[in-house]
Amino acid sequence: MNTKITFNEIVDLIAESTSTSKRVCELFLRELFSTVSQTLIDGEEVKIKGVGTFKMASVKSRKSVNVTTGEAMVIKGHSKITFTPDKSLSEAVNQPFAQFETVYLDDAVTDEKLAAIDKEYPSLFDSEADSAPTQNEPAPAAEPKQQVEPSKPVEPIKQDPQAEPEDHAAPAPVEPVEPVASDEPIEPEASVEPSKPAVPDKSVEPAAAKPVSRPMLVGIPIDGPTQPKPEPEPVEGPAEDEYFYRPAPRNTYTPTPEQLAAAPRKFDKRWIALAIGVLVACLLGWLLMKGCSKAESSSEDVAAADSDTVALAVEEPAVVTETVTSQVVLSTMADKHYGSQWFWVYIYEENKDKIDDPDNVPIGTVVVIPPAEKYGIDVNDPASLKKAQRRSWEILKGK
Amino acid sequence: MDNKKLVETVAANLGRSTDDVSKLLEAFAGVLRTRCGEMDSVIVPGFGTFEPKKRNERVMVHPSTGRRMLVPPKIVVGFKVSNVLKTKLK
Repeated sequence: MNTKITFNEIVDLIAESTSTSKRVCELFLRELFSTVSQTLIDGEEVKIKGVGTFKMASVKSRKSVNVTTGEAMVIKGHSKITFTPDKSLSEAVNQPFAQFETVYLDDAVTDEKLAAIDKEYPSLFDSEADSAPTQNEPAPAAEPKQQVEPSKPVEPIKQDPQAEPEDHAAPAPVEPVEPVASDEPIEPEASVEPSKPAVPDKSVEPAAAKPVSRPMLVGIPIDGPTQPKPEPEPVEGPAEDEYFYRPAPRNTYTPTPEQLAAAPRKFDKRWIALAIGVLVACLLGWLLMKGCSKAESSSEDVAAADSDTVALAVEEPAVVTETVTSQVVLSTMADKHYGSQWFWVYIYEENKDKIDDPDNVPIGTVVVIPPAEKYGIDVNDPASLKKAQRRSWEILKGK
Repeated sequence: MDNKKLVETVAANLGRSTDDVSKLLEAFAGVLRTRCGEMDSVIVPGFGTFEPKKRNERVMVHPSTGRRMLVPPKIVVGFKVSNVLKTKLK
């Protein structure tokens, strides 16, 4: 993070990844860049796949004033090099922010409101020099009510990568934004099981939930030294706000591994229910499988977490695993494997024993990606998505 | 000069096959991707520095509709030409 990679390190890295000698790599790099430079000097543009395009642009001569003497002077025209990164490169680099989209602002959000909220929470932003205050963060707080319609749009507003370091401190200052929004409804919800809604009055909730949840989605490693570890980015959609407090039918509740261990039989029933719902045609096959796994789990059911995971492993023939890096976190895995980052919760639940804090998974942690059917993951099913969103909120809240 | 021609030129100068060279070039692009993805800047002496920069989110006005919108933050890769090359260009 924020370190400088020197020529020798580039050589080492390339030599390692192509398994060629360092000597060859060094010669190659020198030759490459002298060729590129020469071509540029000749006035031609150079396009390198995976890197970008280098172009010469000429700057016209212009008049200026000598700052010390105050005399008028002419700055001579010259040429400069412009660089346009290749799409693959810019996407790879922008990956932490990839999920955000441009959002139209409501007319109700005035500049004054933005500025006022900025002033109110300077501490969120002042830590890094290059991270100028993100004025927009406040926007949603100011207008959550109007912004009802599109569920996506609100997200971009919510993140302030810089606020990340203060992640945990954040919820406190944010709450007061909406004095109206009592957070009582939230408290009970988090501590009680997900199936129990504690919803005295709905009108208040959207406002309440929003400010609280916002800081959580901030988890994006951006400025190096402050956050060496990757963070999952559990983004809380606004949709979830209205949804969140609604009673979840008991049977849609997803048991955690621990609970599974405690009640293996219940789990099997759940499996069947899922199978019937999702794959009616495959019912027979599922029943067979169920029979097998039941036999297995009953044989080892003295067991604690260990035997349970064994039983689970048997059920899923090919165990998919992924390693957490600074680029790959729970939410990106979820996005890759299930089509939506929301499903990170299930990866977390599957690997609860390895992960203490889903917001802060150590680099190098190998996590198991559960098969999508296990938790009823279906990106095309809004109910499944919302369930994941609700779970993620609970997990982060209870953390 | 496009990628293919560049690879050919470099390969000819080095006396290696184009396959080798394009593999090395791909590896370099990979290094750039991963290192810049981790907010490290990659320095090529005599040529320049590739450095990722974070752009803050901002409010802008849509030029044609006049609606205000919130543009999310992003990270872009910048390139700073080294002084050596700069003086050569003059």
